[in-house]
Amino acid sequence: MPLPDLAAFVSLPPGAGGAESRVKIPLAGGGLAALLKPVKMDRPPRPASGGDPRLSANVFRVIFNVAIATGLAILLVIAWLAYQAVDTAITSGRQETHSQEVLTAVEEIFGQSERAAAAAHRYTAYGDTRALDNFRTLATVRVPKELADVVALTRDDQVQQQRLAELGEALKEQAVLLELLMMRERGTTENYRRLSVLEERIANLAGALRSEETAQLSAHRELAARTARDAQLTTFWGGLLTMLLVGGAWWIARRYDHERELVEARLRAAEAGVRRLTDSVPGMICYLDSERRIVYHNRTYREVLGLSREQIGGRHAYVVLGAEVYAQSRPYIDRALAGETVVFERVHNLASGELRHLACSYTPDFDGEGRVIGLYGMHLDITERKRAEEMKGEFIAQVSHELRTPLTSILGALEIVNDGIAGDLPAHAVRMVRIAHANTERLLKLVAEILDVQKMSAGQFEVRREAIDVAALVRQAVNASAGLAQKAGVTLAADGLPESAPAIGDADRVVQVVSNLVSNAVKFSPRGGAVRVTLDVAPQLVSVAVADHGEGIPRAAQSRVFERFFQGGSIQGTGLGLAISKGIVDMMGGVIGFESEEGRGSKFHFTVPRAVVAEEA
Amino acid sequence: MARPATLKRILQIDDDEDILAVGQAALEGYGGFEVRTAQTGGQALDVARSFAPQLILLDWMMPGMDGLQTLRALQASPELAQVPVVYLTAAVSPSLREAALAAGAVEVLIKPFVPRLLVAELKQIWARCAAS
Repeated sequence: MPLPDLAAFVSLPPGAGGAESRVKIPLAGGGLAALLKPVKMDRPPRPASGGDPRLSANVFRVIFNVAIATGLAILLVIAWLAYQAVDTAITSGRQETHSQEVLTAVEEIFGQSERAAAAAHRYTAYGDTRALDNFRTLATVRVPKELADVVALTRDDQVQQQRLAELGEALKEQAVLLELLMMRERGTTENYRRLSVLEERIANLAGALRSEETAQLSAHRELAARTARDAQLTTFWGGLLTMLLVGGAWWIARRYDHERELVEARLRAAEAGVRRLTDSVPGMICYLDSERRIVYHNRTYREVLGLSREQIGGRHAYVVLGAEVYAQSRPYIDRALAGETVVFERVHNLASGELRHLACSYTPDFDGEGRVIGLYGMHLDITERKRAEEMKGEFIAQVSHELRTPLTSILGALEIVNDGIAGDLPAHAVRMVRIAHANTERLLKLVAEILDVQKMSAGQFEVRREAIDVAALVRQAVNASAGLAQKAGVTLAADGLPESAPAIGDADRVVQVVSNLVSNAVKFSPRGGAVRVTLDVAPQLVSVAVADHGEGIPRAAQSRVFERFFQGGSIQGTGLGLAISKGIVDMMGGVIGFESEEGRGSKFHFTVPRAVVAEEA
Repeated sequence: MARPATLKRILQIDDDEDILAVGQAALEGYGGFEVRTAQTGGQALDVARSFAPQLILLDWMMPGMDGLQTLRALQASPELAQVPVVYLTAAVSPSLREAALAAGAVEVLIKPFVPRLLVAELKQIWARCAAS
């Protein structure tokens, strides 16, 4: 089949390729069946160019997803860094303010402390009592308050706290010394020396406090600057990389879309090709999904049903076929959807009233896991063939009748002449008349056999089902064959038959079967041989056997014994006798069979039921 | 209706002239019957009315009036309605046999026939009819 080998899917927009709106068809290199299979478009199409299209589609998808994911991750990192920078900036601003406050407060302490010292000196020098009051206010109220403020500001900093505690002690000591000096107590010189030492210590402590706060301040400033720089760099490079990734993803998506369009265009072309192909098939083709919707059909399907695309596409088989036809087909649909391939024939009544014979086959469609997901239906119109078969049957029946009519006259006339009813014949004519008579009978038997076979193949063969006595019929057949056996020099024995053997069947046909088996046995027996006919009566059936000690049937030929026109050995005959016998026995509900050994003889047997058995479908 | 004890007059109807000749020779030669023949159903009715057969031997497949139509015509005629009709046909099958018996034939015999046996069978049939 010259179809493009495109492993992909196609999706037709409504009205573009068919009225089955959005019918999805996979186009694989798997022949017509695969081409007709509808599949849900749950995966993106596979690009057709270069290498394995599925792989390339996957690679595309992976790259696209990785690019997008990476871009998102980078954006997340940037956001986090920005947050960190802002947070650091805020913290550092707050720290700076704090440090400034601490420095100011420290300066204030020293300011107050120096003013207290100045007030003390003024009192000592001029005896200004206001200066004494001022000193006391500053030394005992203002300086301790400022100190308490700084302690509160630096409560988280243990080192500073320790320094402030030392400073507090020094200031208190300074205040006491100044008080002593103002009161001109003894040891003034010593006290001046101590005051000078104390002032140096206070200056050192103040320096340590200031430098500590200044160091902290610059550390915060540096951290804020570094964080801001980092955030700037990361944002720049991250932004650049994200732009590249998004651009790449966009490019991939665009290329992917382009490939997809190409593939879809090719698939649409391929699908149109498949549609033209199936439309050119004179049989009705359809595909039923597991929900029994007809999701694909060809032109013949439409034309035979007399429906439009819209009336079929995607609709349930019940709706399309109608209740009656659906009921006919349903058992077969059930079986096909259960995984069985079914072949059957049915008669379809056209809208015009015309009857068409259809040969149908439903083939299940399996998915990768072996589940049935639909069925392929093929229906061939065999009306003409059926008609030809019927005509052939009628023709053979007519010919047989036309043959039997003259044979009746010939046979009757010869009998009459032979029996001397029409006067005496000269002796030399009698032999000729007998030859003519024997051969007429042979011809008649042949015509009867051909007619039987024709009826069997046309399904028109009928047998009666009446009460019969098989024993009497066997005796009748054996008696009729006595002449034949005698002529062949074969002993024909039917001793030990029961008095009667009642059964249900067709008397004439039972005689025909027995005669046929006996005549075969006699034909295949050597001169001087013996043929024995026996009969057994069982509760359910009567069984007749004809045994000979002739040449037997070669093993290789045994399976073909009941075939039409099969001929064993060198014995002449039509090869129809056993085929007809089997047909008769089967029709009566019995079983025919044989055992045979080459060189030792054969035993053929058949049964006749004693009660009416249900006719096989 | 009382019938004479022995079968004497037979009417044979068949479209084939030779079969009529052979049949007549057989029936006369082996059975000693008095035989008339007819080649069509129409002719048969005429012959039957004048001949008054005791038994009618009738073919099934005939051009024009076929065996079944002829039987119906015979049955429609008051003086012939009671005459037993035996079919003698080459086209025999169980369904045809059933149809023939259902239509009112007393027996269906098949062609080709062995003259001697045909006579014997007709005698038996006649005896059966006389007994009933």
